Amino acid sequence: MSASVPERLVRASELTTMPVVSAASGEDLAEVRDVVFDPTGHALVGFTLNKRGWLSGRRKERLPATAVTAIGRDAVIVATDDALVERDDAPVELAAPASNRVVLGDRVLTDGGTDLGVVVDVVVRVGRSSEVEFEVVGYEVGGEAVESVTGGQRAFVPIDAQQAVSGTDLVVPAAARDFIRQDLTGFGGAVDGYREHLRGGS
Amino acid sequence: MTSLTSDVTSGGGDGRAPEGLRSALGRRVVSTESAEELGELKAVVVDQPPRRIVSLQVAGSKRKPALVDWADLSGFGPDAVMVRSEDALRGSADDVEAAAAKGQVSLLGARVLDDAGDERGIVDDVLFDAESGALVGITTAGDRGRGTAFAVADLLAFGSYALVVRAGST
Repeated sequence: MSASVPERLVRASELTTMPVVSAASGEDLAEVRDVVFDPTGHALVGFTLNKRGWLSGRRKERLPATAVTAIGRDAVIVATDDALVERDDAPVELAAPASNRVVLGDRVLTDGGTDLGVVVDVVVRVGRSSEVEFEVVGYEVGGEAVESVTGGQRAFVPIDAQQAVSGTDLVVPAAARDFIRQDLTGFGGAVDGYREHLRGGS
Repeated sequence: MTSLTSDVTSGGGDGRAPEGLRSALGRRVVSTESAEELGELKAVVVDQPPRRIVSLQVAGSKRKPALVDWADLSGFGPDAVMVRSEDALRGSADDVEAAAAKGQVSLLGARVLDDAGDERGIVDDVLFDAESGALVGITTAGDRGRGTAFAVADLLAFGSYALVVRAGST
């Protein structure tokens, strides 16, 4: 009966400027400035925020992912108006995101030494917190290297829980290459297939 | 779904059709005590979460917009809203009423957002029981091109950004 599907994959850039709305008051508390995630575990850690409205600007408060009940097409939903936390009270990885968390511009290399392209966006699994785990499941890559692998301008590379990240390069298993997709439709299946493969499934 | 829409628009089966706010706006507001016309119905204020109309905004040419508690009505009729006494008219008691009185917060036309984070159109009408002021539900327009309905139990909160409804309830 639900109009919403349990989970959806979106580019992190699509989440920026999305309003954060309280389901207890119907008020928009802030809007998403940036998506913060753990670069090795890939769990969504939370969001940095901007103010809403014409006099917008950076907000010092943070929104921890644990306070988010749903991420939809049009809004990030929190249960209560006190979901935002002061920067000093936020988990350290959210209060002061480390520079290596910003993977945009990093080069994706396979452990066999193939260049898969440069990260232009990250792909996040969203939905309701009761039904899905908010996490980064892949990178959107661009650049000349992509064309040599897929023939297209952009592609989506799946990632799994553990992988090396240096701040300039990301190393993924060579098998990731077989699960690259050129559009987000079907990429969820590729992510699942890739992870199953890494666990010796196929 | 059809069954819910029909539940919402029939008032849940107690026989009396619910009142629609859209057609009630502009209705004459008259003092039962003096038979004087006090103005016309301009807006309503609901509680949080939205379950009933708690006060009405009355606008008249002779006076500044004023509020009256639902409890101070002697009847919400098809032709006039009857207020026991002109003395029941009062100013805004809180920020919610003040915002409603200024026309900043209106249920009609409000953005409808479900608790999964998806927009579901805008509020087309608010259905309520004219005896008690209890909300019955809302109808929407523009939910991907089709109207739909939400029963009162699925209305989670109404604020300046949106009316938040429970997802999966259509």
